[in-house]
Amino acid sequence: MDSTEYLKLWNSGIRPLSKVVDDLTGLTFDIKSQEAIHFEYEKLRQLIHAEMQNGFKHIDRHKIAAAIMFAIALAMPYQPDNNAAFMARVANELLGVMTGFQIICDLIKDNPESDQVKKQIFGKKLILPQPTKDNYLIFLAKLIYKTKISGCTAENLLWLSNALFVVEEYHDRAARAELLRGV
Amino acid sequence: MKTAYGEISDKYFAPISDEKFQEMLREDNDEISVKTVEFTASLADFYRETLSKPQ
Repeated sequence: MDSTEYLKLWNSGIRPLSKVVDDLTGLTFDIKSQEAIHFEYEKLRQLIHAEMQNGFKHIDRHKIAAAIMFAIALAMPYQPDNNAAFMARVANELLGVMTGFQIICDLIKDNPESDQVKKQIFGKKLILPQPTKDNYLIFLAKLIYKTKISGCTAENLLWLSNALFVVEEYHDRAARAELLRGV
Repeated sequence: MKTAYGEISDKYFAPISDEKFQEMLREDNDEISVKTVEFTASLADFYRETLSKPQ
């Protein structure tokens, strides 16, 4: 991702979504993290390319989203205090997941191969699986936090990108079903 | 709390110790399942279609 593309993501995704995370956690996003997130993203992108058969081609939207999720988690634009609430402790991961979801939606909407229905349903809120005990956003944030602590590998990134592919398909089917029901 | 990403339990907004945080990180690991799956096609169809796509 060159600097121009990253700046677009920063302005349209990371910054607006950081305000959502600020509100949810009571923390303040460190605006100086702009370069650090890009730097972490590029390191992770190269990690993925090294595992690909044709490593010089572009990576797909799920890999881009997985890499940005981990990049934000690693760059840590939020610094929660001791005794902070759970939401604050995983603030970096929450912002990462939200930004990754937005990348998937934006790239689907920009893709000339996407049909009109697909563009429409990825312009609304995502319908996520509902874990029995929890919320899927928290569920993913927890996994990213734990992976960050144990060390992010190319395999972790590929597993996450695969999960994001399934999440995209989950939303696609659920949203099309809602359209058919007239919801 | 209701968010654009679904309902989030109040327990995530209360101050907690490091020990409690570690405990909460492990909460989902006992059981990973989804409450509802309402697709027009079955999951089996989904996997069949996905796996049969030409690579």
